[in-house]
Amino acid sequence: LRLSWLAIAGTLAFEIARPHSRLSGLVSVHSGIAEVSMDPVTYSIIRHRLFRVTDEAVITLKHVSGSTTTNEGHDLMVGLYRADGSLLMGGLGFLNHMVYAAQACKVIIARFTGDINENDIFLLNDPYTAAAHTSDVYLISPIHYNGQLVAWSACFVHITDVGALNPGGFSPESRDVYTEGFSSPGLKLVADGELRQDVFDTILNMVRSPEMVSLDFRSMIACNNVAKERMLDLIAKYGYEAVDQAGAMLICESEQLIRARIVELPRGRWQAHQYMEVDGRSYKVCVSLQNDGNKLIFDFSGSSPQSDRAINCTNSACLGAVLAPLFPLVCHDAIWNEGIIRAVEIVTPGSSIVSCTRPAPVSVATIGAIQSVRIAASVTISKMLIASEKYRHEASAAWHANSFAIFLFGQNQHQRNFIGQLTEVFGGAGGARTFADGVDIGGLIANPISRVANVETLERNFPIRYLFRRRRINSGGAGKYRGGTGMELAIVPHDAPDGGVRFVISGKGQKHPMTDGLAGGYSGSRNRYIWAQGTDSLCDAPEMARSVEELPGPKQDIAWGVFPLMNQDVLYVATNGGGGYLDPLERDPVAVLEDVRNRAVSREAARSVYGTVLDGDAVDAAATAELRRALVAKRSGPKL
Amino acid sequence: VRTYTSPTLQIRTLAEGDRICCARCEYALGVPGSGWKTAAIVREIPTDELAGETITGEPAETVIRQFACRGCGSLLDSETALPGEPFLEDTLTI
Repeated sequence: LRLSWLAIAGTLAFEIARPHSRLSGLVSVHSGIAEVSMDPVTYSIIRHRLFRVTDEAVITLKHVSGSTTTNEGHDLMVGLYRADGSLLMGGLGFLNHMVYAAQACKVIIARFTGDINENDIFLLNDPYTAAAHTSDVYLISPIHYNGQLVAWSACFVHITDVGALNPGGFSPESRDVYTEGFSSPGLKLVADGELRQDVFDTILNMVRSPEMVSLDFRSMIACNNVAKERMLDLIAKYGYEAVDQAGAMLICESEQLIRARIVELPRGRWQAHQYMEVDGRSYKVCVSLQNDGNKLIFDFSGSSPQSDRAINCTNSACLGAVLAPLFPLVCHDAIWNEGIIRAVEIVTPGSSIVSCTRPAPVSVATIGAIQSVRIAASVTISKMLIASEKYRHEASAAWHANSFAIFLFGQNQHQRNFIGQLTEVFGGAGGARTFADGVDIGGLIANPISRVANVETLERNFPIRYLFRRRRINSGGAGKYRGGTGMELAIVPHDAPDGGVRFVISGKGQKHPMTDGLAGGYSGSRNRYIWAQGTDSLCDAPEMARSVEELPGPKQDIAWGVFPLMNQDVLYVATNGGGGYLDPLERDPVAVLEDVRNRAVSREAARSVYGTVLDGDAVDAAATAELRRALVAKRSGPKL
Repeated sequence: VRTYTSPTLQIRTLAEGDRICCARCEYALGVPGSGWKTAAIVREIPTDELAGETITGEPAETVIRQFACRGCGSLLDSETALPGEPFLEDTLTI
């Protein structure tokens, strides 16, 4: 492997070739303020070591945590920050949190000036300061070397409970932030390496399931400790000057990359919106992306006023939500750090659903307006990308947009009180790409490592049984390339000492499709949440039901609030698929046949939406061509 | 062809000037910078009729708007909207 680094006119260029090795010159990055240089081997080693530091910290977080939300769903994030709090290296997890934690670091620096000591750890979870919602708690560790503050490590998890009105932190019954649990704009949890027991006990005294919350905190402390130790190892080996210089260069390099890409991408303005129905009312997130050749400006004018339902997003949360899809769609080949953030601006109307003012409730924000901001932003970004021949292949129709939160609580089969989340929220669905279908149950665009816990894991932890869990037919948006499917599942209470459990549901997407198609592709389906109220009759036992249609008892569409799941009740959830790309009548009929075989598309939809005629287990090519001509003619009308 | 605006639309220089055209049949839909969607065939499909709606639920208020070319019937774009809402506008700065 040969690395040849050339510093040309303030831009960083490199080439990779085989098999001979030749190293020349220094790596130089012009930051706009000063030009910094270092030898390329050291630079490369430090860069890769920083990746590994965050990787190992994420592994630590998962292994110490006892929460399925953390160690199965990967609702987490770890990041490294420079001494001034700027984002240096984001680890995997929810990408918007890399940005939120940078803000959190800066707030801690300002609040605790003169009182930031070696081996301290700070806590912050106030959404009106930096956090997304109170449940996502940041632990922030300063990293000192020879007595000097040189960096920060920060991480978050969605803690098991935060003491909100409803168990689990998502609090659909809250009407203000005061009922959404404890909220700190910054406190010192660990002082000089010693846990402040009085503070910790106070926190645990405010939450349900304190033993699990304690473990959540300890997992984050362990995570930060590992990150700090590995950073200090790195500094000890290469010297503070080299590591700090590499950090500055990484940020400059990322900024140069995105600035250059903005110049390459077409200039113009692209619009998108997301409709969100919550508790009987509809809200709208509007965004207009402008590329002016220097920066990307996301203008959210026209978005709905803030709500008294807990779906609102704060202004700082909006910025992170914009960056979450920007990182993978536009900057997949850059280090995701402060350099990217510098090239983005947001414009938000005050007291709106995307920039709420205290005390508006925000506990459902991450699956509410924050997710809608992410998806709307991703749609505008992809519209910009498909206007570029060079970058069209990076575009994607909307990914899973209708997240929900379902937290079960009660007494489990081990006679212990529990709170637990259905991790299917992280299953998601991939949007269609410009060259291939979206990935079925392919996760979330904002979290590259999101995943769903095994059925067995959930049944072991919670007193429930799954009747079924599988891909949902026809849920992916139709197109030449189809959106990935969502899923459907049904659960019943099982072996619960109290005869069942209760659940908190904060759902959206049941009324409006939200996974937009691209360039003529269809949207993915809507969500469904059905509560089938069982009877005491053994004849009506739901255990043999294999579909929602077979569920016994009266069925009720639900999406918001607290409900019982007792005796023979069933909770059915169906999630949306990703958006499609281009006209479904252009889809390869053989691919449609495969979809039908795999139960991703029904025979009826194959014919009516994809214009594909199947003869048994084969495509009738002639009939398909004829049907497609007829459907195009019908679409065009008599003016054609 | 001067500029590709999407896989389905492109800006072409015609005798009468620059026009947004269907990428398949070159049918002219409008002047760059202006809304081309009013020149397309607009079809609104209730979202209840989307392929994914295998089970009935709350009636959807939104529709899927499809914009098709008057020249060849190709599907040019789509968007979700409440009936009566203005079209989304995507414009390139040439």
